[in-house]
Amino acid sequence: MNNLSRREFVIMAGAAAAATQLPAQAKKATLTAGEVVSRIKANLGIPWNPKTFRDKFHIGGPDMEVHGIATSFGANFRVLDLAQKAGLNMVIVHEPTFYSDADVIDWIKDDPMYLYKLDWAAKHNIVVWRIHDHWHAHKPDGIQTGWDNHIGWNQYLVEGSLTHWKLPPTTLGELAKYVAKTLPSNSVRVIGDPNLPVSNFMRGGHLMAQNVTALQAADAILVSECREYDSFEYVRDTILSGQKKGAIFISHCSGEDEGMRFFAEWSQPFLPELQVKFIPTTDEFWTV
Amino acid sequence: MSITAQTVLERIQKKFGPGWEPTPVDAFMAGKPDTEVKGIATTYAPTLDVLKKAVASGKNLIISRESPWWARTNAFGGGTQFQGLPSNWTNGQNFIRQEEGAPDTDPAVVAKRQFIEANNLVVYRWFANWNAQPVDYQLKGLAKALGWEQHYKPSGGYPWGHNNGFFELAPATLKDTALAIKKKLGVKSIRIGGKPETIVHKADLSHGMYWLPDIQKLYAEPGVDLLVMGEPQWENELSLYSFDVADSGQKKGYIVLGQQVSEEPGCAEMAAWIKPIVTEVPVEHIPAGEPCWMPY
Repeated sequence: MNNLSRREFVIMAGAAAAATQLPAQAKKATLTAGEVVSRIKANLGIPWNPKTFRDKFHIGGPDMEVHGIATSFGANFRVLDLAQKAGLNMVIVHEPTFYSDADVIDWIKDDPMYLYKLDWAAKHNIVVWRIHDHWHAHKPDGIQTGWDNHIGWNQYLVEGSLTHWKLPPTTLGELAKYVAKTLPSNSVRVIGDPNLPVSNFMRGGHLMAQNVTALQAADAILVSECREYDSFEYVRDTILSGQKKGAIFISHCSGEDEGMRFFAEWSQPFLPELQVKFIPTTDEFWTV
Repeated sequence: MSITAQTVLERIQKKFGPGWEPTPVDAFMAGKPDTEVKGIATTYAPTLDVLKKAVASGKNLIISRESPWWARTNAFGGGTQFQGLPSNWTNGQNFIRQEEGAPDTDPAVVAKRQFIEANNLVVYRWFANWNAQPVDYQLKGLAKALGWEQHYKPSGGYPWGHNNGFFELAPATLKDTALAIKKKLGVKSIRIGGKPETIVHKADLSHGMYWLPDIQKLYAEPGVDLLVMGEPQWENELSLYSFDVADSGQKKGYIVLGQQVSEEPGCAEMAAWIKPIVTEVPVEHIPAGEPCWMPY
């Protein structure tokens, strides 16, 4: 907030003022994608970081007319296709569209998958806008809040935390089964003894340092996509060194998809002209 | 005749030939290089379990692909191979970095350090220079473990070279192919993308971590309809690409083995490579084993 320039503040203030005029705008049949984004920015409750390389249009642009909005974890082709079939031509996602975090087009400009997806999207009038940094920065973190609401442990949250639970005593094996079934996901992986007693449960992160901190503070941790050469092996050596610990690893998608259901619920009230519908990306991994 | 860990390294460098690059991922990670070597164990990861097995079989030099302290110095420069780039090199999202690890007071660090000291062990990490050889021994080892050697169909270039892991397989569904791989490798936790009923004929086998330009090259190879890899970096980048390929109608599948599963067989190749140059002591591959299981 302290980095917010005067100019940015003026833009934000204007957007907030626009949002208060909602009833007048509600007569419009459709909005432009730019108008949708303005409303989102105005309602986020935090300053917009204009330097974000993530939170911007990745297919289409602000002038496109929006007939309905789909929200999801990823701009997976499968999700765009489902959105299009449901008549929702603006897809608001949390993750990349074109295979790198910054959607670096230079790397893929001749790639057949990129060209196919882009052509398909243009043909179907699809606009993709990403909200990653700002949905995490929303208070409370929109991604974690949505995940928490879905997993069903809010009554066990340690006060002041979104990622630390004191669960009714269970075992690592039972907990992993519950997580796999509830997400749902067919790619959950576990390190540790299935009979390990677990009550103090905490979420780690993508990076090893986050998982070191969490594992030392809990019986077991939940990790959404981490590197196997560091976090997996750290957990394994922790257990081999005699500590009674365990870890449940879920896909990146499984750790964040529900956060975009919360985004749909959160944004529908200030986008009354349009349907805002969560289309789960759903973990596309399966196992045999 | 006695031999020190340093002498073992010098023999390795001599056999390697010209071009050995000093890197932070080819280094003694624990113990003293002048320690007298009783036996050598190669492994994917020097876990406490691997260290105990080494000691039990009289070996005190462990040569590993990964670090005993887990945190990794990463090198991404449009590929997984270390490219000898300076640590401050950046280009878009590519970078080299030393990941933040566990503190010295971490109980697992303490336990491991104590065990290493008590048993006079030496751990040498051999990563980038092992990878820098024209033959990709990690690929060769994995192909052997899968029983795929006789199906090898290199795409020009250097046989068994990097990014040249093409195999013509007996046509089968993606699901059956995955089941066969799981059974052959004896693992519990492979992950698959694509439609189970897709018939696959030609596999691109890879190991470890891949980056976007790699996966683009692999999918561009004519006839390839199955990609088998170690670990995607990241799922919202590389896996997204593979999911999109299948979901946009291409009859192609994607199998993720896991980092350890994909890299361990190559560490057996490492033991075989070292054996002829260190005849004084036994050299053996001690697998770290698959770290995880699935709750299904």
